[in-house]
Amino acid sequence: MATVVIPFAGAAGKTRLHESAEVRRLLAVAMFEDVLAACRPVGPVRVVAPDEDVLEDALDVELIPDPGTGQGAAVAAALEGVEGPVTIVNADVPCVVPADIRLLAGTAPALVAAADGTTNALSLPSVDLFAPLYGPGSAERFHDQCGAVSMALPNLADDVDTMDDLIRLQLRVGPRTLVALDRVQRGAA
Amino acid sequence: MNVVVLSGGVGGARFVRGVVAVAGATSTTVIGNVGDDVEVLGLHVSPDLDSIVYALAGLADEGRGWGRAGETWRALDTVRELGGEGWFALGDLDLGLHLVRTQALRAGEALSAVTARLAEALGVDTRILPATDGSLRTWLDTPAGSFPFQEWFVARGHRDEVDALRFEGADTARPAPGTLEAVADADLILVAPSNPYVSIHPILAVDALRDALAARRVPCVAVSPLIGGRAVKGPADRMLRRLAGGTSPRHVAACYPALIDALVVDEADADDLDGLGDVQPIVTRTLMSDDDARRRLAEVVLGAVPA
Repeated sequence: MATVVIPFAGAAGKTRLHESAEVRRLLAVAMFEDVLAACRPVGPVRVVAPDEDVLEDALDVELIPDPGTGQGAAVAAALEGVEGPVTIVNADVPCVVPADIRLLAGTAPALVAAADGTTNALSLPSVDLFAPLYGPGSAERFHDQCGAVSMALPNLADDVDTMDDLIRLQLRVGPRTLVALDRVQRGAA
Repeated sequence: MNVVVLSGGVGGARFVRGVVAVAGATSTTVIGNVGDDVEVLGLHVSPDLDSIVYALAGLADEGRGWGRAGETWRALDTVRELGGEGWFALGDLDLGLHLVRTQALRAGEALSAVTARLAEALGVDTRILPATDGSLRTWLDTPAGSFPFQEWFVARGHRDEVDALRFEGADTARPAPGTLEAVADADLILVAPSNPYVSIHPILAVDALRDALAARRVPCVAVSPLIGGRAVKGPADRMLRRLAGGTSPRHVAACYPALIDALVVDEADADDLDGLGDVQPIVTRTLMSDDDARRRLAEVVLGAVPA
């Protein structure tokens, strides 16, 4: 069973999502929680995040402090002490369901790229294969480095950077994101 | 004093809480909208009735304005895991109520009876009645097509402009038991600050209920849902602009022709009171930001009964 790692930048990420820091946090945390809910049935979950209060109710999830030097370093920190296969899922793919992650994990090494060529999710048959290659063009670099095949899994490909992204995905997002979006659209946040 | 409140969901439920706090739980009867009831995952969901029940039971999620506080989503996670439809946010706690109601409806119990039972079980003393036990559903005609309420509101994010509304089933819908009696026994009838088109008009679409309200011998006071010409939440202002030609108090009053004697408007709209005709304006602060604000608004509304 693959260990699943979710790097979550917290409210500090997602700067394009909304002008209000409060709304950004509400939506970013909701999306993270939906991703977390989809990962939990798949395998043991490790979350790497800068703030600890994002996990208050998730006693079965291991929280690793984010060293704060980028996503590659954050994931590397989360993988310390992990053995065997590993799947890394970004926290901004709120449409994901467990079947998507199982498919990705079962095809390792594999990845799902975002429309802009960055990497939304990555599965490796062994944790030793990980290299911190995130950033622009990373999907191609992960492919070159460890032979990860690119999988067309829409729920993992559809990442959220803007409100337009969220509204476009409204019918497919998880319930926590749906409720948070509803709050924002009704002006309650 | 017996008070009847016509109410939609979120804003209406907040207002009803204030009315109950001032007039008393057992002196208040709420007639709620069922036009946005929807079948989700085989379950009958009555969003507006539920918002009122949860608000009066002290169970509502204050931040969202609908659904229950402390909600979790494990059941819907499983629905999505299994490939089921997840577009309507049904929480674990909320689902329990929908299961009981759906079973009761399938067994032949009327919506009014099961609503009363659920409210009582949750410790609510106020009578909450659906406008009808029949099937009455709000449809919206938009440039993008015709949609049932929830599809327009939730699935399409109420972004389509509304050209017209239809209330399917209204022609055969009879008033729910207790509604006509409540109106006949009322000393005061209130219209909550809900969206006139999608929350109050579906109630008035039940002919016999509308006739009873038109034939009332007691005052009827509506609270405008707009503050400074804008909706606190939702698409009411956009709909008024398109369907009534503006967002002034007179446009709100025109949504209730011959049905209201007074219109409560916010201080922000106090300079815009022309064209109200026989409708008496009552100016106060209408934003229901907390219990005190709700209570203050209810005191003004209950105290400002026109002679």
